[in-house]
Amino acid sequence: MAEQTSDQVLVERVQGGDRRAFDVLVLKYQQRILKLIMRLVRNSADAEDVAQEAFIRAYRALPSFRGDSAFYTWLYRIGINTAKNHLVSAQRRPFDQEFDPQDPDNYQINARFRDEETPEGLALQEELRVTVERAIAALPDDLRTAIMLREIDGLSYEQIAQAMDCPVGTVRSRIFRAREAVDRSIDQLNGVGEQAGRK
Amino acid sequence: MSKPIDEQLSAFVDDELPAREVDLLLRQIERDPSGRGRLVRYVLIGDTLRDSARRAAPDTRLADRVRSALESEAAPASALRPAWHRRGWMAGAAAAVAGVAMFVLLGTLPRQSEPQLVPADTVALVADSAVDPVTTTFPRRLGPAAAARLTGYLVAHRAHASDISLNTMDSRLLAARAERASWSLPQQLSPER
Repeated sequence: MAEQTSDQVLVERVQGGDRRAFDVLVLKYQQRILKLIMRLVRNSADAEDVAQEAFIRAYRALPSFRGDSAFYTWLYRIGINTAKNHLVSAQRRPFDQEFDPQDPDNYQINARFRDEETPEGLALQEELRVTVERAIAALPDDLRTAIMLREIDGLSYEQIAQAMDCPVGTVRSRIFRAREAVDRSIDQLNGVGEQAGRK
Repeated sequence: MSKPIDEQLSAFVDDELPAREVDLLLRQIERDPSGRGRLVRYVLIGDTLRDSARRAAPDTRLADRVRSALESEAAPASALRPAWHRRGWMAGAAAAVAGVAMFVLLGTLPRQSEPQLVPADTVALVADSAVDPVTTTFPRRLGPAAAARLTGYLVAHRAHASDISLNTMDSRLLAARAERASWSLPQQLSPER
C-alpha cells in the first residue's frame, strides 16, 4: 500500500485539532487558491477576501473530509464555489449600493482592481521570472533536470529516480538544492529591490 | 532553519514528505517562522517555472518536421503501393497477353530470308538477359510490318504495366528502337518515355 502523502498526514492532524497543520496547508496552497479566485472574480481586493473565506470554509469542513479526492482538489472545489457565491451575491446588490460615481472611494477601488496590471506589478513579475529562469539555467545539470522534471513535468520522486537512475533520496536532495539556489537568487533580487526602494 | 528542515520543506511542497517527518516539520516551523516564508517561496519558484513554460510560444516546428518527413516517406508508398495492388492484375494480364501475342506473331510469320532486323549488339544484350523463351526467340527475323505492330503493341501497353513489367519490356523496346532506326520508319513509333 502506498504511503500517505504529507497532505493527508496534515489533514489528519487538522482533523485531530492541530491548527499548526492547517497553517502549513494554507501556506502551501494560498498562492494557487488566490490565483484561481482572482481569475474568477477579477478583482484583487475581493479575491483576497474570497480566498480567506474559502480557507475558513475548508477548515470548518475538514472534519467531514473523507479523503476520497486529493486535499488540493477538494480545496480547489471550495475555492471555486466560494468565488461563485461571491459573484452571485455581488450581482444581487442594487446598483446604487454598488457604485456611486460621486464617491471618491470607488475610484480607489477601481485603482486596486487594476493593481495586478500596473506597470510596476508586471515589471516585478517579469523580474522574478527572469531571476528564476537565470538561476535555473545556472544550476548543474543533475539539479536542473531533477527540478524541471518535478515542477514542469509533474513527475513524482520515484519516477524521477527511475528517469535519472538514482535513489529517491538523491532526487529529494537535488530538488532541494536546486530550490535553495534559486531561493538565494530571489533573496538577492529582494535585497536589490529593497535597496532601490530606500534610495 | 537548518538544511535538513529546509529539505523537508522542499519535500513537503512536492507532497513527498514521509509521514514520520511531518511532526518534526510542524515543530520546526513553529519554532522558526522563517520557514513559513521559505515554504511560500519554494511554492512560488514552482509557480514561476510553470508560468514561464506556459508563456513559451507553442513551438510546432519539431512536430511539423516529423509530419513532413513522414508525409514525404508515405507519399511514394501510398502513391505506388495501392496503384501496384490495384493494377497488379492489369500488369499481369498485359504481360500474359504480350507473351501470347509475340508467340502468335512469331509463329505465323513466314520463314523467309530477310535482312537482320536487330543489330548484333542489341541482340546480344537481349540474349544476355535471356530469362524467358520469348527473348531468346526474338532474334528471329521479323518483317517490318510485323515488327512495327509488335513494337507498337509493347509501347501501347506500357502504360498499364507495373514498373517490374516495364523493366522486362525495356530491353525489347531497345530492340524496337534499333529496328526503327534501321528501317527509318519514324511515323509508326514514338517510344519516348
